[in-house]
Amino acid sequence: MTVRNFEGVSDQRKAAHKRRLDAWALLRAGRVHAHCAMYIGGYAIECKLKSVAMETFGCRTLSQLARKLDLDDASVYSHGLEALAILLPLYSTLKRSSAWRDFAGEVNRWRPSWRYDPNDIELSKATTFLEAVDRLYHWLDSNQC
Amino acid sequence: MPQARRRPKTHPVRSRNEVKRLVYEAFRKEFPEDTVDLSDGYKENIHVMVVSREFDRMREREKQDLMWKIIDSTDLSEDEKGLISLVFPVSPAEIK
Repeated sequence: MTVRNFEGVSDQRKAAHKRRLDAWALLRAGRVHAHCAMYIGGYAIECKLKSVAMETFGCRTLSQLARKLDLDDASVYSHGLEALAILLPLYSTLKRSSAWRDFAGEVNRWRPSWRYDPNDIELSKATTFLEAVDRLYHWLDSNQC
Repeated sequence: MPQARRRPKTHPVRSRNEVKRLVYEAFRKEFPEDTVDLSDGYKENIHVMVVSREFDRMREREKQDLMWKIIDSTDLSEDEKGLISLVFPVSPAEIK
């Protein structure tokens, strides 16, 4: 049986959309799920950055993207949001936009290791984080070439 | 009478270390007794973390507004501010 690794551009585009909706659904479920909402929300941006990079460079998969940009696979399969953002031709535009403050102030705190954190978090913190995720997500949608 | 043409605002080209120093000084001035930590982010990026009791009763949005107000109080250009890829205000209560 072949294991799918969901590295395709449409996988990542759809996953970005779904993880964003999942994150808000978790947040609406109350404070006990707020930390997980933030954790899932970070993946929405990771997937979005990957899909925008693939779309911009006309690649169908992350492996193709790595070859096109002459990078090793680790650079494009990364969970590091800074490392992924820098791949985008619109990176310098992003850094001069208001969305950069959402990125630097909230979204870039995200770590995959949050899944191991058993502590609850205030609803207001998670809400602020997801609002920043939303603004950055829409900025990436509106500004991709 | 023709109006004098305003000269475009120009910024000196600063090194990354100089940008770090200016950011550090701006935060140190505002938080003389607290932890102000500047570290290296991905590639050329800079991470700023401040741990202060001043954040105790602030909402996330207010903390961010204060941090960016301090950054904006410097004369860094938008490109130089773009080097800052993490702005992390922390209240000690959050890490206890």
